[in-house]
Amino acid sequence: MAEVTAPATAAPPATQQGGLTDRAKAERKLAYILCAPAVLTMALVAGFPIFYALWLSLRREDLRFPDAGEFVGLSNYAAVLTSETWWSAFSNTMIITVVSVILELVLGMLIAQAMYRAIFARTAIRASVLVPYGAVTVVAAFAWRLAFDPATGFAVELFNLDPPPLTTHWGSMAVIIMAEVWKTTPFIALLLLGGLALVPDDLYKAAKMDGASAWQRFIKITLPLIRPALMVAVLFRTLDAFRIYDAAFIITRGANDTDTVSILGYEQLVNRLNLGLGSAVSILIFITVMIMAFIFFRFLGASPERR
Amino acid sequence: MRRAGPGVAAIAAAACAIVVAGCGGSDDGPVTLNYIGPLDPGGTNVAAAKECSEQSGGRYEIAMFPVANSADATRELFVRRLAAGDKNMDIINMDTIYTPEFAEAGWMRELTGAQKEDALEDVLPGPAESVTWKDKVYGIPTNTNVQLLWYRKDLVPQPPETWDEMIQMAKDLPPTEGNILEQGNKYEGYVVWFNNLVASAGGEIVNAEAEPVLDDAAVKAAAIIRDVANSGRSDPSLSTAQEDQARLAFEAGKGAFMLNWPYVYAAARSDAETSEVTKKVFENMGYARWPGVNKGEPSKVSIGGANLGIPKSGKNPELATEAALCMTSEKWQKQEAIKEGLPPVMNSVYDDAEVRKVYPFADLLREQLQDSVVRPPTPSYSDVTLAIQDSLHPPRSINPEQSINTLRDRLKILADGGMY
Repeated sequence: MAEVTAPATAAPPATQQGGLTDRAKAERKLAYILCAPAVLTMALVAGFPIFYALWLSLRREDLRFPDAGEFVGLSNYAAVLTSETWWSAFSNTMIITVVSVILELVLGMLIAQAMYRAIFARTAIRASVLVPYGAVTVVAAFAWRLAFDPATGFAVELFNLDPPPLTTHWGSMAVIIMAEVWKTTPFIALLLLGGLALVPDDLYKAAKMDGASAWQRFIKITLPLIRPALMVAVLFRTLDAFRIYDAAFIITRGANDTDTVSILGYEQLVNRLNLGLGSAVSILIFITVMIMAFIFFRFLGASPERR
Repeated sequence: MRRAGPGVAAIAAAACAIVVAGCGGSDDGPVTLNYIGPLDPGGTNVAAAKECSEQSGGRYEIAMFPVANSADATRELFVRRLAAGDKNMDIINMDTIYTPEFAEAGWMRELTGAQKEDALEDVLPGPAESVTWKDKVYGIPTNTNVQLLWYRKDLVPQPPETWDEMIQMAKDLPPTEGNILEQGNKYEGYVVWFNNLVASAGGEIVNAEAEPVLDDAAVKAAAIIRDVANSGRSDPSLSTAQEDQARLAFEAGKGAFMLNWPYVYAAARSDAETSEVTKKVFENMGYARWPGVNKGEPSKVSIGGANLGIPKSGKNPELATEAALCMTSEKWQKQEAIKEGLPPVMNSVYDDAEVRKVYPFADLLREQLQDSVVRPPTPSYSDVTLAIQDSLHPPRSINPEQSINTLRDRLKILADGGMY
């Protein structure tokens, strides 16, 4: 009697035997039932292809030789990881990702600041900034390719580019990066604008009073406060940029050694009909993307919840 | 419980109607056969489809569907649909290089008995080989193509017999005027050039299991390509030139030698009507056998062309075969030759007077076809061609021994199912 401990107040109402009340149990069961259709659909639509790809990547499957399928363990992965085209595609993709994300951040920040401090025609400015993002990627990529076409492109003539960019490796990479940056800077700008709007103005006023310059205000106030939102934006953009396919395919189709990992996967799967190797490439892309996301969440402070 | 209202009944009725409408069409009426292939610019194969449909006595009707713009995209289209067992393809127009790949994958119907006889009747050996895989026939030869040497009779008195001779003759002529025009872009045409040289030198690239059998012939072939690119007598845009670029340069007088398909003759003839320069070129346009590699050994060149194949997954393979045989009969071979510039596969058509008027070089063409080779006949041909393009492009930077060794290593990796 004297050893009765105080009942816990935060836990769900406990019965005498411990555990949940019937009502809480019923509520939880209802929750599971309501979630079930969505979870099942996700499992079917998203989960099944991933597991199927994993299974295929452990086999030698080639649609041109339908009777020769067999389990080969990790030899597809060994083949991909020791091939020079995979590493050249990987380095191309990393270069495109890093350079385009950095450019997008810088330009996006400038555009966000401009949109934030616009005194007149705010809506018009914000709408017009979004136009590149609203264009269909394939159409935009064609526009860029035709502009830089070695024989007929106006950009080649206008800027007297010799040799024409689309005939050299770094020229083609530059055009692809420019097309990507042009297309998605508005997205970053919008996300940054959202973050900027949450920084209280009083902090700026106080800092101005203390004599901080514009650059110091930017570094010491703006950046740290928008960092969580900024990191989420950068995370999404980086993952998307790593999986770039449409712009690179339309602009060069992988010529001049500008293969990206997605184009490589396409070549193995659709062109060579080698399902084993192609699935191995896909799974490797999946693993890389997971690692990048992990790094962002763990070490770079990306956090969707913190504001 | 509320009673289900009229809204639910309406939805149920609509759902039933949709399901019933989706169930198949009528059983009577002619069967529609889908022909997937390029539509001739002059309308010949559309006319052939129409006439064959009428001649069938109401049993079938051929509907024509065009293919994609480029050869690569066309192959991908076919491969995707065949691998998925698409029931809506009855006749497909295949490039000669598809036969081993499609046949080995089990997608194509084998022709036997009377149909096989009909398909191969009077067909020249090159095209006949291009529809055969492992001694079985998987297609109906429709038209064929080989490259010839076109040269300027006013600049070159006697056509060269070997490539080394041709390069020497070109160097004796002034630059630009004496250029050798070939297709050096990184695409299938480049592989045709390489394959022609290797075959003419007596070698092979791969065997039927896609394993490399490259030897000195391949090294010599690579050396010739490099020599042409570095001779000072090749077009500056050689490494991006395809058939039309070479043809246009020749028509503009910027070359004395051109290696190209026979369509350039008809094209030059029609362009000569509008351009003085081309008129002079056309009047002096000579044709000769593709140059060989070793003196005294006539050249062996790769054939191009198209064959009609019947996918196994189609709904009416018997009728489709009959329709395809009708569309490739002697009458239509002649029409395609005259109107579309597509050389026929049947021997007798080369003796026809009307055809010979359009093709003054008919005998040369036939002779070249007798000795022709197919491009490496292996189901993994798409890998082989990419490996060749990757290892031997651009032409200027070929190092014959090294490039062939790299190619051999890559082909070995590919033959083992890996990637390089």
